[in-house]
Amino acid sequence: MTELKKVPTGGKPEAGVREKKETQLSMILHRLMKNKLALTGGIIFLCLCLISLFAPLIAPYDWSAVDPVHKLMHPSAQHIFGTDQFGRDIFSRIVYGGRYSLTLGVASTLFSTLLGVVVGSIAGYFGGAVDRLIMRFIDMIQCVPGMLLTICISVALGSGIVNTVIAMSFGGIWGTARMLRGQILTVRTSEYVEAAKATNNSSFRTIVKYVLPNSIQQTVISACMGIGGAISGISGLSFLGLGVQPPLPEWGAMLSDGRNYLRYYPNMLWAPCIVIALTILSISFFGDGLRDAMDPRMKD
Amino acid sequence: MARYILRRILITIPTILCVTILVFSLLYITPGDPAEMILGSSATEEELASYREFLGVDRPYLVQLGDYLYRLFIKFDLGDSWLYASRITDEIKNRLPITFAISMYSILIAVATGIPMGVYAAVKQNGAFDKFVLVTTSVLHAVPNYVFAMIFIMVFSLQLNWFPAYGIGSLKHYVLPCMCIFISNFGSMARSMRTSMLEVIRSDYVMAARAQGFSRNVVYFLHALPNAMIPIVTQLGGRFAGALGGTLILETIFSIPGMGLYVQGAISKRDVPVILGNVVFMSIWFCLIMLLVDILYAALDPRIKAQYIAQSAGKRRKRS
Repeated sequence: MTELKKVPTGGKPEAGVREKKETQLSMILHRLMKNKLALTGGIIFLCLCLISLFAPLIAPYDWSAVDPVHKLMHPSAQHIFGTDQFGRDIFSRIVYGGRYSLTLGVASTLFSTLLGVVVGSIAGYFGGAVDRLIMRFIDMIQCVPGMLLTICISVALGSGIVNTVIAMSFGGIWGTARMLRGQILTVRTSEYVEAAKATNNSSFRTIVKYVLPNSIQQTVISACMGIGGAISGISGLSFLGLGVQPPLPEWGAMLSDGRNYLRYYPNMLWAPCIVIALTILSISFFGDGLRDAMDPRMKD
Repeated sequence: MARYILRRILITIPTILCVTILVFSLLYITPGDPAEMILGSSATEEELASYREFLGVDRPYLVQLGDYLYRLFIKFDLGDSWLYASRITDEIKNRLPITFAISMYSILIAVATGIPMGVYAAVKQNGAFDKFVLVTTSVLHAVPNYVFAMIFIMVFSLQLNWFPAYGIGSLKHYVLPCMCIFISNFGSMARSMRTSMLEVIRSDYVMAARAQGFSRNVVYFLHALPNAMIPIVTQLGGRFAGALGGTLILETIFSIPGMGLYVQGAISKRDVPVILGNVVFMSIWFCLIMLLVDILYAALDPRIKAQYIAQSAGKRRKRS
C-alpha cells in the first residue's frame, strides 16, 4: 500500500517510481507462488478454462448428438462418464458446458464489479446528499435476500444467456459499491487527492487516476472470489429452471436434468457435481491466496 | 437509547414500503399474458378479457400497486394465487414453520460448533488443527449446498439407506437437509470467527495485556474474545434474517413442503403473485429481524450508542 500511495502524488510518475510499482506486483506474485494451495487452485482453474476453450479438440462427441441406442450407459471406454437419457455423451457435455458456466460466471462478476465501482466511487467521492441517497437505496435493495432478488429479475426478464448475466450481476453491484465507498472514504481527504483537485483535474480524472488505484485493492480480491459465487448462483438458477435452459449443457442445467434419474442412474449427477465443486474450490483457494499475498500485514 | 430505537424503527417503515414497491415493479414487467397461460390457447378473446378482469391484471400499473399495498399493509393479505384456490397468506402460514425449523436448527448447530473451532484455530494459528480447519472450512464454504445435497442423497439415502431422501415427517427426514444448510453456514462461520479472532489477537491492547503478565488464556478469552465476537454477531443477524431465502434449492431437492418449494413451483408455472408474495414476505421478515438485531446490538455494545450520539450531535452542530 505504502509504495502505491507514493505513485500518484506527483504529475507524471518518474521512472524510479514506476520501477517500485513493478516491485510490488512481483512481490505479490512471489508470495502467491509460495502458497501451494493458491497455486494449485489457480492452475486448476486455468486448466478448466483451457479445456472449455479448446472443447472441440477435447470432446470426443458433439454435445448435442442424440444416440437413442446408447442411452443411460454406465461409464465405459467409449463414454468415460457414461451417457444421459438421450444418449448424449456426458463427458463431452461437461467439456462444452464449461464454456457456458465459466463465461457466464466471469461475465456477471465483471459486470457487477464494474457497475459497483461506478456507483461506489460516485457515492464515496462526492459524499453528501448523493452519498446518502445511494446508500439508502443500497440499504433497501439489500433487504431482499440475494438469491430471491436474482430469481425475481430472472423471472421478470425471462431465461436466456444475456438475461441470466443481467439478473446475476444486478445482485452483486451493491455489496461491491458499499465496500468500495468505505475504502474511498478513507483516502478521500488525503493530501494527494486534495492536490489532484487543486491542480484542476476533473472529478472523473481524479477518481480514475488518483482515488481508485489506492482504494480498489479489496474490490479486486472480492471480485476474484466472487466468480465462484456467481458460477454457483448461475448453476442454481439453471437448476430451478430459470437461467440457461436444458438443451444447452450448462452444469447446473445438467444437474437439474439428472435429478430425475437420481435413484437408478446416479452417473448423470456425479460428473456435474464434481466439476462444479472443483471449479468453485479452485477459485476460492486462488482468491484466498491472492488476499493473503496482497495483505500488507503478511509482508515478511 | 429510546431515541435511537425510535429512529431505527422510523427508518424501517419506508424501507419496507420501498422494498415492496421495488419487488412489485420488478415482477410487474414479467412477460406473458396470465389469462392465456391459465385458460390455454383455445380460449376466445372474450373469455381472455373477462378472465383478465377477474384477475385484475387489466388495470393500470399504479392502481394495481395501490391495491396491492392496501391489501398488504392494511389487511395483511398477500393476495391470491393465479392457479390455485388457496390464499397465499394461509399457504405461507402453513409452510413457514417447516422452513423456519430447518434453517434455524442448522444455523444454531453451525454457530455452536463453528465458533469454538474458529477460536481454537486462531489461538493455535499455523498449527496442524488450524490448517485442518482452514482447508475443511474453505471446502465446505465454497461448494454450493445443492451439490452436497445431491451427494448426500446418493450416499446416505440410496446407497446406505440411513435417511429418507424425500418429504418431511419424522426426525430422520430433517437430518439430510439440515446437514446441507449446516455445512455451508459452518464453513463461513468458522472462517470468519478465525479471521476476526486473529485480528484482535494481533492488536495492541491484547499485546499490552499480555505484557502486563496476564496469562494467555485470561487475555484471549476475557479480553480478546468479546471483541472478536462483535463482527460475528452482526454476521449472525444477517444470517438469521436471510435464512428463509436460503433453503429454496434444498427444499426442491428434498421435496420439503416449505416456502422454498412453494416458490419453486410458482416459478416453474410463472404464478407471479405467489413469487411476489413470498419474496415480499421474506424481505419484510429480513427488515424486521435486522431491526431487532440492531436494537439488541446497541443495547449490548456501548460504542454503537456513543457513535449515534456523536452523529446526532454533529448534525445539530451543522444545523446551527
